[in-house]
Amino acid sequence: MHSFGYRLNALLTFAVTILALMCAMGSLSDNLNTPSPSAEIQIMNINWFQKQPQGNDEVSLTMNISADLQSLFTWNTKQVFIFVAAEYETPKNSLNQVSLWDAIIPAKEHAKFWIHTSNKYRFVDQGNNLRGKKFNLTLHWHVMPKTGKMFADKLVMTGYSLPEEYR
Amino acid sequence: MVWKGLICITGSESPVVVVLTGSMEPGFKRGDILFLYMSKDPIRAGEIVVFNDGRKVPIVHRVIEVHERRDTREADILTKGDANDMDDRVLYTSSQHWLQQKYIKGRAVGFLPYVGYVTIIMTEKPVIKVWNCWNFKVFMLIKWSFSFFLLNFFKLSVVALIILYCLQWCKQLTKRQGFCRLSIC
Repeated sequence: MHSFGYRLNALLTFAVTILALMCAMGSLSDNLNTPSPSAEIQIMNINWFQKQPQGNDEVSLTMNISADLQSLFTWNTKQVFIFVAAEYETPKNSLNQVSLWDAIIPAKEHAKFWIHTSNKYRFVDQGNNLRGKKFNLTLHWHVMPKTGKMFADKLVMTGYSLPEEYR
Repeated sequence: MVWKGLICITGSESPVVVVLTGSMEPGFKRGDILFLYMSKDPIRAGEIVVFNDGRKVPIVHRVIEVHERRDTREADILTKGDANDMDDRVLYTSSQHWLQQKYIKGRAVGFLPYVGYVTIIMTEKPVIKVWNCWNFKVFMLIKWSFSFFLLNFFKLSVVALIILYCLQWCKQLTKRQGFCRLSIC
């Protein structure tokens, strides 16, 4: 009964239980944090706007993104993944989400930033519906914890539109 | 065996997956565990999904593009690993530009670091299983202890103890046989 193996088993079980409990508590403590992030995106320039040979519209634009996401960070936060997506409706699709730019924020110190960038991923429509299209830019964030539950939320910014003509 | 048990208990196809590659670093590293949840909700950009379009091992990547049809509500999805430079178009086996929703096995909702290394070691280095008796016992203990972490605590501790006793009984049996052989000789 009091063999080495038995004691090792008891010790391991106890250690793992404590560890699990601490992980669960760490993850639960994230709920105490009520984040209040803010962000602003401006479209500075439409670099070019054309119809691909396959018939899909493609646009390249330059954005000015400024955000303060410091309140998302807690002691259980490993990193925050953020991305900016263009969201719009077309006659064929009830929802189009196209990711334009993303970044990983590794620490709270980097969570208040300002960046001037063109789109990192191609902004291509399924079809040619982009001329004069009104769309939303949404800043999504995905909080990846050190352990436990992942959180995601977004800020929708409305009122953007594309030019009527290809250029 | 632990995983089979989990599948039985949760009734889901694969409720827990182990990250095998570094394509989602630094978020998920090799050996981390993801908890999956499959609901009827439509897939949206930014979610981390597990998909399998007919390959051996499912892939855990992030959705970066969604185009949802108005008539069928079917979505064309594009995924990308956070650490990869390219999107996953080249990975899709079904020779198309988009991933369909039917290939998605679940979305990641929770995360535990390192725990999955047990299964990686188990599957990739089966030598460990046939070490000598004592090491095997320790290995079994570790394996079962990790399952405590995930499963019903009391039931499994009983099972683990039974296994431990079985192992000891086997050991005694082999000892006795050795003794017999000696005495016959």
